[in-house]
Amino acid sequence: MEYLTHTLNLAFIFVILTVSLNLILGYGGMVSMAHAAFFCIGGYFSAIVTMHFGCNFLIGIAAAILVTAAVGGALAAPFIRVQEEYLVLFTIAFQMLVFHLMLSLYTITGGDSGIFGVPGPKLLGLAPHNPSQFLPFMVVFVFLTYYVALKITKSPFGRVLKGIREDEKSVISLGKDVKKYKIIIFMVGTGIAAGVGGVFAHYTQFISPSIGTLDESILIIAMVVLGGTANLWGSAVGAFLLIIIPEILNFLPGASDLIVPLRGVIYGVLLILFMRFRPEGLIPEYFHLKKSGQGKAAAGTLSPSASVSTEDRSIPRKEPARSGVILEVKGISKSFGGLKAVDDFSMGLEKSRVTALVGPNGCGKTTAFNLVTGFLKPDQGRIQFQGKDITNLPPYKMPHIGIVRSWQDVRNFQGMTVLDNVLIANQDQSGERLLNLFFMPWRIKKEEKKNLDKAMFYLKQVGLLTKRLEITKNLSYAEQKLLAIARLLTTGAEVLLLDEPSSGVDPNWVERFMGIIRKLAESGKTICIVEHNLEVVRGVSDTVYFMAEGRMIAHGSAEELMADPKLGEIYFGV
Amino acid sequence: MLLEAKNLDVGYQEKQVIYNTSVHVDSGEFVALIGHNGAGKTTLLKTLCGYLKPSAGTVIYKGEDITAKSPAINVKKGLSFVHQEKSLFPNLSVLENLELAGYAIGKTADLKERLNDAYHLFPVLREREKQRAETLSGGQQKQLAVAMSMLVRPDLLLLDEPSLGLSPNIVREMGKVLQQIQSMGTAILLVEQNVKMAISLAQRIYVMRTGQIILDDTRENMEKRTSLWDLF
Repeated sequence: MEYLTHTLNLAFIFVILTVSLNLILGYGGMVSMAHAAFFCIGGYFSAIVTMHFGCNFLIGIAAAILVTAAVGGALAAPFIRVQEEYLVLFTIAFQMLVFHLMLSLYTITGGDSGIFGVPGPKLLGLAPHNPSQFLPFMVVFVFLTYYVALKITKSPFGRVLKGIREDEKSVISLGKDVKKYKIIIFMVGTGIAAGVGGVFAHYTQFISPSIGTLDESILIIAMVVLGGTANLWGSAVGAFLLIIIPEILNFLPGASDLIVPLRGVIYGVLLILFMRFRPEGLIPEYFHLKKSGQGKAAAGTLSPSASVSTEDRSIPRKEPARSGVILEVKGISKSFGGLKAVDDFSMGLEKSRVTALVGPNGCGKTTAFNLVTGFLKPDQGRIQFQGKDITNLPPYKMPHIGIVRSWQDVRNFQGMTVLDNVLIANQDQSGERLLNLFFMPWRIKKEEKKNLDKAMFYLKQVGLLTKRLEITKNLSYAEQKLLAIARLLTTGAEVLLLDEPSSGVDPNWVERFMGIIRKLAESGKTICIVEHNLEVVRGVSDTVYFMAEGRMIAHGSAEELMADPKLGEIYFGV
Repeated sequence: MLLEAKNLDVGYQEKQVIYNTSVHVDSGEFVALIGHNGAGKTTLLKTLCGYLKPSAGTVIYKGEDITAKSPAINVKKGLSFVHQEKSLFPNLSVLENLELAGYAIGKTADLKERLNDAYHLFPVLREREKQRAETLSGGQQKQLAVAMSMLVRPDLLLLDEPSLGLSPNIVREMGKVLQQIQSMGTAILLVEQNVKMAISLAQRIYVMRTGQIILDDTRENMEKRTSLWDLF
């Protein structure tokens, strides 16, 4: 009986480990091969602190959480910005380093013998002496872990994480500092791992490096994958299966001789099979959301009365007649190796006007766009917005000052609902800060209600309100483009830079998109479009910049430019 | 008709790029396809030779339905495609590239003769026979790509913007070679960004805009036009 309860306690410990890694891996999209190392560090830290200072085990655990989270953050920070592969390699290296440190610093860690006599748990006169007595404590810890994890993942912070997992650049273009989110969730995950490491140490009253091996890290990853990445309940399933099944198998005669050495092989094979055939795990993330029976919705099914008035009621109406250049690009240049993609390019965007940027293939339009929106830094030149220099502003800050961009390849979050895609676009959400989440939940609830109203408003404007709970990947292409516009409007930005807004759209819809662009300008937005379709350019633009070989060749109305034979030669060849 | 595509609908997952489009090429004809970026020209070419499967419509070549048949099979039937992107084997020599292109025709005694034909079209390739393909200039690489596709002596050659990235005089040379190829009996469907050049070479021109053909006209009529802007 005690043996079974002990197994149950161990299973719960792994549930906590799996949930915490799922936060990093499933939600943060970061593959960490060092989770067992953080578990181990937490265990040792809590053990040493309680033994040295004679304090309560909860204080030891709290200290372990804080210190390990800080270490996790410090380690992750330099690697967050690099490619995923490097983070994986780094965590493998860190895992091995920690293991060997635990072995070699034997004066502190006891070397491979570990530390015996770790103080057992004591709380309010209760001092559990056996697994059954410890079980209630375990349940409380599991409950706390789920409380924290669910609170985070179901919050605006969690929403941003989901976006990051799918498309980091898109999240950046909506005004979120992706690095910060990744570091924070890494710290949360490693902190929880350390905490449960402490729990483990005080429960077994023993800690050794054997719990902090690469094999253990892989086991935890297997549990996450099996249960389903980004599904926290799945993590419990994954953890239980991979703890309980080997224990059950142990009861088979002769099994223990086979199972124990083959455990690693079994976990590895399971991992491979799941990643190949069932990467979403046993319980996929949107298990609870019924897939809409409508399937692929054609563009024609959108409400025909979807008129697009883009009055933004939350912001005072701007005077449409006012003009003047608000975004100025002065002589920017950008080279890639020997190739000068943009050469001394200048442009001015006038308020409430539609400016088009055209030119033959490869002339540097998209590069110019990326330079203006902060995704590339110019080698020379300045960019000014409302008189302030924004040349070196990082791209995630652009929406905050009022400049947003769309993408040629749309970049909506396909795995999220239409509504979530729009909600994420709101700027400065207090629910995106973890401290607010736990200490000021009422403020967040109020704000979410406001955000929801705003999101529904813009979805209605573009005619997608009835599809708000649809998973985005089920939308037609035209609907995806409309969603992208709704997202941009939700940011509240006044300057919209649209990269080929009509490309790939059903010809019957091009006119509707043209109408949308014109109405946006009439409502006070400043628009710049990169376009290849000259029909659209002629139909919506107030002024056109003609680019060739990275330079601005001509500037004027569409009619003026198209009357110029020299431009015709450049565009159509000789 | 050598090639006839009828009522094609083509897309990439959710995104439809070509809407109910029909084109045809007659034997020995030189047809150009022009249009703005993103109009669907490359998608159309790829559908015609089998790289993409249309969600509706058919492609008939020499009377046979080849819709969504593998491009490799179509090459053997005389339908060759020169991609916009480099499609050479950079670490192999010019000769090795050509011999590999001859793989489609199998072991045949006239490979030598076909190589000679290729060199006749592009003399610079004979000079640089032993040179590694990646060391050729951009224009020469394009010439090699066309030469490779000509090895199967196609009845129809599809070209996707062969002048992209080339200097004007190389483009002119390429134009002359294409005319030579046509005079040898090969029909050509040319997608070109250099619109003027395309009009000067082709007998008939298609104009594509946002996934649809908006015009099918003769060279004579196109040359009479005062403005091309309204086609884009």
